[in-house]
Amino acid sequence: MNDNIVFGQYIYKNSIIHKIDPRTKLIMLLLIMIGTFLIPSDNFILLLIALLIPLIAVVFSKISIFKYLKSLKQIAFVMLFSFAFQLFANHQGKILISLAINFSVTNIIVAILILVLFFLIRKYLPFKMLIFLGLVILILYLFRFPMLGNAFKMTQINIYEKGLIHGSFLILRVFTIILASTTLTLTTKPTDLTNAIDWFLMPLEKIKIKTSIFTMMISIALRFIPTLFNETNKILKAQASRGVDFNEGKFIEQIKQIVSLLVPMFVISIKRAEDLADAMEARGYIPGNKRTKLVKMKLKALDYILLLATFTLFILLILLRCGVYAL
Amino acid sequence: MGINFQNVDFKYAKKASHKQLDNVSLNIDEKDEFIAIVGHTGSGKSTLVQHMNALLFANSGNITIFDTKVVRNKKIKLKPIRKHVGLVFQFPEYQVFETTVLDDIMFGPKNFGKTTDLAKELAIKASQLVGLDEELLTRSPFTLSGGQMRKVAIAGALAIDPDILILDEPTVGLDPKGKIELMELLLAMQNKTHKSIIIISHDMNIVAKYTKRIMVMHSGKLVFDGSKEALFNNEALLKEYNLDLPTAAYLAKELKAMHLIDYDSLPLTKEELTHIILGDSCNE
Amino acid sequence: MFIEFKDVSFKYPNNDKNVIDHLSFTLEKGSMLAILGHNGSGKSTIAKLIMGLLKATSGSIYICDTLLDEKSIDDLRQKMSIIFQNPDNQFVGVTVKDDIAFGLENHQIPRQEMLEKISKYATLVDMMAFLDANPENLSGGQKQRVAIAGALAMETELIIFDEATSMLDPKGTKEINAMIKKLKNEHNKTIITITHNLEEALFADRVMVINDGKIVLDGSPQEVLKEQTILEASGLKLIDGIAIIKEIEKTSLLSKENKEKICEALWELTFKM
Repeated sequence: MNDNIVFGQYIYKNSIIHKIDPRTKLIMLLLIMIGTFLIPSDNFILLLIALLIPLIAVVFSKISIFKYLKSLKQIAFVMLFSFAFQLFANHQGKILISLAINFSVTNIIVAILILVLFFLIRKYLPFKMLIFLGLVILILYLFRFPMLGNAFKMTQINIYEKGLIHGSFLILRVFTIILASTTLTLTTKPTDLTNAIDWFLMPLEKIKIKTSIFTMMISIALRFIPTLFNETNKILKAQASRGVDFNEGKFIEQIKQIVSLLVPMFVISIKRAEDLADAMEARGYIPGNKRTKLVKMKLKALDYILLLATFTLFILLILLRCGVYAL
Repeated sequence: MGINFQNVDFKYAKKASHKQLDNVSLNIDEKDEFIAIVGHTGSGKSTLVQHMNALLFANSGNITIFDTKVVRNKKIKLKPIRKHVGLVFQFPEYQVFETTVLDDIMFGPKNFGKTTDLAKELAIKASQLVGLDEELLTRSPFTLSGGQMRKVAIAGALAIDPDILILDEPTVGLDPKGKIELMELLLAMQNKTHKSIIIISHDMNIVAKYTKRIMVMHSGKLVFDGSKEALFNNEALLKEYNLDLPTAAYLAKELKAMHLIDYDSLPLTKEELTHIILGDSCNE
Repeated sequence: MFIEFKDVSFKYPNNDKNVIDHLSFTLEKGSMLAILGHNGSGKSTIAKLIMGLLKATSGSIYICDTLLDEKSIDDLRQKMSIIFQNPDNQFVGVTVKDDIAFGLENHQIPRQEMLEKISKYATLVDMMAFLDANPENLSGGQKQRVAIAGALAMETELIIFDEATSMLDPKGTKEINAMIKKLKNEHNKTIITITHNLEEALFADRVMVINDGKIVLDGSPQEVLKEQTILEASGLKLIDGIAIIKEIEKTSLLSKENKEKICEALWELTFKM
């Protein structure tokens, strides 16, 4: 049962990437993110260098490439949409492709038929996104021919050089950022991330902001999320055997059924919070007090090399950027 | 009729290495059964009873509940199955949610399509069966003690008027008096209504005293299904599956080994043992 | 005296009834006390009062001759630890290691010392192989053993077991009870165990029966077991073996010699279980 309630994306592998200090990884991610936005939006070489960093990490992480693709899939649509937007809306540079589009009754009907068919059978299709993309291209292609019946409108779609360049750059930029952050979450335990964040927030303690309370909250949440999933599952089953069926009933009844889930969840959580508070207090936890830490994060040679390399690249980029403006 | 399993296999995940249910076949009558399912944590007891309530579905094999074949299929309505077989989970906190006890007991029958009036009638009848005080009915269920809340949960299942009632570890967490009270209630309820009762329990004293038939689960397999006498006299089996004897049976065996008493059939409850000790010397 | 209750009462706000009603008792260092009572008798409240998780409405509690109040509580807690009923609700760490360390981190134990203590006490409760395991993958009994390791690691004089076995299966219950015996016999800890099972009180030095917030029986397990009427009036159930002895004692069917032999055997067997 535990198979489907793994929280976070962390996958354990004995790889060099897993062994990098979480703080190093966080800093690198941050620099890559800022860096990709500082790169002028036609400088593919710099962007490819930035992309190379997460790509190398992916190779060395020993995690199947499909796991990475899975998280990229979630934002693939956004990426494609912004690409298309850039492609058609940017009218700078010379015209690369000019398409004559014929709107005719037959064309429109065929296009609609294709789309309807796709939405009907998409449940059974693999690679929905790719097929959808293919269909869109197919439809665009169809519109080039007048086919039966007269075209009642003809129009010209122009794709400009800059549109293509900016569109591709945008996609590559988002791809880099997503890949880098996926690498971080796939190779770093959520608790290690919390510890890293805790370390970065430490200076705030000096100005009397109790950041340790905040990180304790995160780590308690991380501890109890799987428990909560299990619990919800049990409540669902208990109510199902009392005749709760979320697929039927009028709206009012459905609300009642949701209440029958929520109330036990709250009651159990409140009881748990009370118990937990007692257990923590009995073991000497005083919010905001100084604590020693079992986890000791230590930067190793590899961390220093990576940090040095990333910072060097970042500074070079800034210099270059300033230089570009100066020119 | 009743519940019938034929060669049922079940895994939680396709890739899981071991089966939660492994070739289980059984038959449960719809009247007057009192069955205990025993076995260690993780042996598949809870998984087994969830199949009887159509909360889980077999990967292979057949399950028939009151002439309905249970399969994961949108066309098959699960509610009629759940109407026949009521399941009460271990912790009442997982299901109690209404503002009053009465409303909470009425929740089940209303879900199964009963009118408010009829549901109320059924709820009151069920609360009497489990011995809930009438003055408790208007109280909030969250103000009740653990034992009372458990009765509310059982009444909630009884109000649906199932033919077979399954209880997952009904006595865990109750104090000794509460345990006996609850088991006596179940027994009295059965004498009145002749519903079949199935309990999951670790407590061999309770199993020995109240149930008639025992099923032993061990890593997904049903390794024993028979009378309690047959189980507790089968030393090899008890040892193999690491099951305890009821206290009285343990004491009887020790006393016999010390030549203090003798008996033909092993006593399972303290009443039987007392009888043997007193009756035995009577004959001398 | 390790613990001294002087006329302690406790009631919840908006409730007139005293949960703990003018309770006075003392507990010596190094001894094991079992507090028995039915659910709702107030026995767990005593544990929370000792740990300073609840504040007495009247009366005073002394721990090691120091009055337990808001000022002394943080220091006094370093002498006491508690294992609660629900294994899930007291597991604070994300892994076994983290959880054992939690109390040590609070008491600002240096890291190196922490590591030594974790491996020492994880070995003692036989959880060394699970140091990096998550609570989801542990049984109830294993989680309770981790809680015990956490309590031991703080090296407190007193450990309270507040119905620590009531949510466990027989295997887990046996593990925890074996652990309590071990702590009593080999580690000389002061132990309070709170339970509604007479069986779990048999190996204590002293048994206190609580009903309606009052002490109704106080003595050795042997002494307490003889008081059938009071035990039953307090919502407790005699162990089968003892109950049979009571039946036999009433009868005139057996010869005196036979009666004594059987009773003696039953008594011994009960304590052996």
